[in-house]
Amino acid sequence: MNGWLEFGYEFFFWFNRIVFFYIIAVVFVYLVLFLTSAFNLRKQIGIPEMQYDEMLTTKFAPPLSIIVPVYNEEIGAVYSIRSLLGINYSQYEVIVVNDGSKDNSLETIIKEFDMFEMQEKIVWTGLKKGTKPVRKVYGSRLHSNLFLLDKENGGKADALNAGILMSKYPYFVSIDGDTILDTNAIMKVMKPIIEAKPGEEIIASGGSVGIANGNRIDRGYLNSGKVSLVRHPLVVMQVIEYIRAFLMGRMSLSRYNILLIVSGAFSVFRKDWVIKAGGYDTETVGEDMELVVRLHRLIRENKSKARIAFLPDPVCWTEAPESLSVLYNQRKRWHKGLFQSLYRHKKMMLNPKYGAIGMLAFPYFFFIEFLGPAIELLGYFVVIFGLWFNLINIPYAVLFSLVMIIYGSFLSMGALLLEEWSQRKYKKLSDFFRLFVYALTESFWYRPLMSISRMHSLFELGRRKRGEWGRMTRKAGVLHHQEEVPAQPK
Amino acid sequence: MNNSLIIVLWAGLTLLSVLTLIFIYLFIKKTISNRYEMRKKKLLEDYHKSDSVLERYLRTGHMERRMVLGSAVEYEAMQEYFVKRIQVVNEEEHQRIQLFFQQHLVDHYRKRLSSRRYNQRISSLLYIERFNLRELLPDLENLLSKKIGDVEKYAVLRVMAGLQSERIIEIMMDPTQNLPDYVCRQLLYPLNMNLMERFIAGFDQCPPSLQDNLLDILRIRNERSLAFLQMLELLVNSEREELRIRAIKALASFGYASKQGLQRIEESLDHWDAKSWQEKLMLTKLMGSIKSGPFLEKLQELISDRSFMIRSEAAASILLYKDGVQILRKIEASHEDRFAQDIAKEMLKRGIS
Amino acid sequence: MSMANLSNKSDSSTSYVILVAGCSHDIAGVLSTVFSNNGWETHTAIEAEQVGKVYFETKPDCVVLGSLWHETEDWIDIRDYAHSESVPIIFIDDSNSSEYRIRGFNFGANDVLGMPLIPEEVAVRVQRQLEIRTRFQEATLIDTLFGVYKRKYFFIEAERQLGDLRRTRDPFTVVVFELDRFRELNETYGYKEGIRAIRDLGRFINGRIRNTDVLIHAEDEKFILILPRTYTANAVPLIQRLQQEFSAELADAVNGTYSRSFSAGLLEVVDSDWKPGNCLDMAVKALEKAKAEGSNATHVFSLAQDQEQGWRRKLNVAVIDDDELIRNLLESRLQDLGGQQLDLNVKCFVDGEDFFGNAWHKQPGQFLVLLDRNMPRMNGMEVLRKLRLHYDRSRYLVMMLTVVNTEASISQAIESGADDYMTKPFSLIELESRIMRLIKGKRR
Repeated sequence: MNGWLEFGYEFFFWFNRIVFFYIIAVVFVYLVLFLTSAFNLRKQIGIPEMQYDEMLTTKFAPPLSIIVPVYNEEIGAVYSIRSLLGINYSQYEVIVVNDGSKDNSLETIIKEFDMFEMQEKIVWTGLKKGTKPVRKVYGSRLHSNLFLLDKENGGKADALNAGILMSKYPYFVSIDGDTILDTNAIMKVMKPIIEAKPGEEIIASGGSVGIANGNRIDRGYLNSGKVSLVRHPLVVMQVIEYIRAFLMGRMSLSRYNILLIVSGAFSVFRKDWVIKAGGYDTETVGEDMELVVRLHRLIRENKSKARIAFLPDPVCWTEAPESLSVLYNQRKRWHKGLFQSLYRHKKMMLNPKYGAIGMLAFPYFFFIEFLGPAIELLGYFVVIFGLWFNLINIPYAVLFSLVMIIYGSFLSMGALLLEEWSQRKYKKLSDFFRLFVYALTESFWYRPLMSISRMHSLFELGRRKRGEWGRMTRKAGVLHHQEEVPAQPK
Repeated sequence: MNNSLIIVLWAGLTLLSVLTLIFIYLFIKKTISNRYEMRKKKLLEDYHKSDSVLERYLRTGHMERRMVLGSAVEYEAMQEYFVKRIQVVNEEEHQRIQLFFQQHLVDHYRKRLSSRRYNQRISSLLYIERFNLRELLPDLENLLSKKIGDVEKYAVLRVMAGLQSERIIEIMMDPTQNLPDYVCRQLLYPLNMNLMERFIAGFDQCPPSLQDNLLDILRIRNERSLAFLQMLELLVNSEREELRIRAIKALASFGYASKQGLQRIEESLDHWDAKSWQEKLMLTKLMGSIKSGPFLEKLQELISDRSFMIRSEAAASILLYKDGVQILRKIEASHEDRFAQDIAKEMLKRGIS
Repeated sequence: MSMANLSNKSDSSTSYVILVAGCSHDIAGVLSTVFSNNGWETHTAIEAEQVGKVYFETKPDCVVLGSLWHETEDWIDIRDYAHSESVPIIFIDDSNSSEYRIRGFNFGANDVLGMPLIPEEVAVRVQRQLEIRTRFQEATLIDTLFGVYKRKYFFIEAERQLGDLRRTRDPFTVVVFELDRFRELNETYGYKEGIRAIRDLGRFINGRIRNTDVLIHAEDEKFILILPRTYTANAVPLIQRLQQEFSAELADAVNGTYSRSFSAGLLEVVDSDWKPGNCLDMAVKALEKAKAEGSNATHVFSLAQDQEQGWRRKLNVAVIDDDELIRNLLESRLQDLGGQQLDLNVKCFVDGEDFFGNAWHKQPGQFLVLLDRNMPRMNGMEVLRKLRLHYDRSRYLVMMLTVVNTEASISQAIESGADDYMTKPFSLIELESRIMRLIKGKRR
């Protein structure tokens, strides 16, 4: 018995150390990320826009295909499509892919845009992987650049692949049905591609995603001048999270071209590279991340200098879940997607052949993003367990917890700093206070909650499900103008 | 345990103090900037009133003392106001604004251009360009010679181009500069025809990317001069494919070719099969814009080309001819190639509406 | 109804048609001989029912009434028909009583023939009445039976509309419409129902048009409607709505109710050089196409489908610019503008003096002038002013090409009467679409 106890103490002691050093390491990594971001953000500020800039960019911007997968969205899809047809860009086509919706999304779209069945030859580009069968292709009498692909259900990745097959331009934009674009979003996101240095190739580009809750969205347009902060605590926390993830995380990672995620809500890709990589994977949940990892792999394997760009400006808006259960499931799903993407390409982990991706990005995503929640939770358990069994004294426990808590909040502070140095959207002092206080409290409730959801996902990893849509409940008031008929709750 | 405790204690305290510092910093910064913004907004509102100092100046030309001296926020508000105002003025007012900036703000901007703070340098550039402060050209060139990042360098060059500085020509002709395409275009676009003609005259000495971008910019500016036309007609047979494609595109937009030009294009059609599909596509477009008998014949061949895009473009080009509709109808009804019939039908459906 | 019947009856002055009604056989026989000797066509009928039927089939220029008439409703109807078309009624007094004669004149007769019938006298009297009628016909415009204008009025009104078109460039629409299956209607329900149908249609349409619209009864079951300042795009839904409403109104007949319908052919008149006769012919062509589709159909006349050269719109285009390149460019491009529907006669001039010095600019027809502002001898503004001062504004459309994009020059151009302007350097696509818009006329 004593042997067991001894073993127990030793184990606990060492475990304590591990957690301790882990936290320090993480703090260090985040500090590096923070500094990198801060440095790069400052460089991005305030380049004056000359009068003819926009015109020149429009005229010389490469043509692109916007692919919009639709599943059971009905009238919401119509608003999205309509706003896409009016964006500020010279040459593009909109390909709506109806992924076997069970409601009357298809009929609604056909009627709204006066669509007719097209019988002429459509140009199908060479994705080797097939998709679920396509039933019909429609063109629109009102808009010559709008098309509708009706196919059997196969998931978002499959829908995107079908859209890619039909697209005729060298770039394509992947966009969620419920994402709302900034009016100049496409121009912004194409800017890195247009402004690539000679010899440099940008094969994918994405921007920050803003949280739409609390802002008035009028039939697909968001007035980005009047951003205000909501009161809903969950949403406030997500705002902070988003700022942190985008401004701190992605900003710095993209600088060294080791960014593994480009937001599926709105991003642009070079079609030929995606086709070479094999298109989207229908087996994973986080198909957007998985594709980017695969692209990086292709880049390294071809020893190419191609890059994936990221803009700190928000280019699109999305609705953050306001209900805990929806948020919980969302994070569970994301975590699962993260794991699947990493696991599929585990060959790259700590593999020098894959350069910084293998040596820096993968370990970062695995140890910090993926395992992080587990270790954090364990950290809490350690304290409680230790206290319970009197293995540690109270002051130590208190301090330890305090440090853990502060470290959690510190990250959010960093995010607020970065926000101030770059976009300065939340100018009102009252908004600032709210953000700050919430950031302080993050570690008490929000972080553990999110960690639990991600741990949950870890446990569920045994079961493999095919790509699911996992749409959240659409709430009429948040996303659309009051006059709209409220969406049916699912 | 004790050691760890102390470490933890110190770590905790450090973090806590950092947090507090961050909070204080952010609080102060936001408050200051909010106040600044409020003041500026108030100033702008005042300026908008019809009896404000600035409006009176515009009407009478009499500069009051309040206009000349000023704190940083006043300068900023004034320049913001005038930048918008200058878009809706008449000749006289325009000149008055220019005069004001030339007389009193040149020194202000000069100081800012030599500031060590990136922000200050950058933000002055817009105004220098907008108010045509050519007096500052030497300072801009000076700035170029310093070690500045690419972003800033391109911004300075753009201002110089907007001010019609001749140095731009030298810089752009220098291949070691390695200016990206989009910068090249931004520099070319605002140049007046005088400077443009120097590029046209020295076209052969221009680096290839400059040649390409020059053609594009002249095209979107819709320039139509004999010199430009003659150059384009020569370039149709250039050795460099990219240059040929741009020249053809520019010619299509020009909308006209001289007899020699037409001959040259017809000659280049003889080597059709050796061309890349981009060049073929561009030529097909050209044959719709500039019309001739031989072109129409070629287009009627191309309407049964293997490539969908060429067929489609050929049909669109045929439609632009005087009896294009009739020709397409005939093709739709009786052409032996099914694809040609299809595309003719589709084009007719779209065309007559 | 064949096209031939569209020609005006009053043109064929000597071959009249006479209806001998309600006469006993021997008198009818005498009359027939007299009339046929004069080269006039004669028809005979005795009962009122028969008379009415024959009346509508033959459209007589004169009715000779025998003693077999009575003041019954049927006969009164026939009298009304005759009066509405100013067809003279001559009755035969075989009783030689002034009472009878008074009755006859009260009934509405124009003249009386006494017994015995002297052939020469009969002929002369009938001739007199016919001549009076002809003169009268020429003077009147209104069809009193149906309360709408007569066919002749179309040409007057159309001429007026064309004049307006020249001035304001607002197109008008001509609608020719006609009852469907009129012959069957007559055969099934009788000629009276036929008349009623025509009258109902006339009244129906008349009650639903604007004050400025003109409804004309062309002949029989055919009407013409002139809609000023209207595009066919707007007229078609209107006509279709009227068709729906009209066919929904059921008519009563002896054996039940039935519905009637009409078909229409429309023509949008945009070229003030067209003649009213042409317009009518084109509209009738459209009507024929509509009729071919069945009943309740509409068809809009379209030049593109009718590939007759004569229908193309002609326009003279002058390019006045001192820049030779621009002249050559515009000349070559303008030739191809407008496809098959436009016939453009393009000529270039170096400057204003060149333009005015050449008689070309005075020829008949419509002009479009592309005018550069800055030219040596006579600049654009001078040309514009001269054009507006001394020439028919409606004939000359002017588009100015100005170099300097300052407010002053643009507003100057507009104030001096330019119809549109483009700043140089111009985008070809924009220039061409503006030119097309000018040519086709403003759409409101």
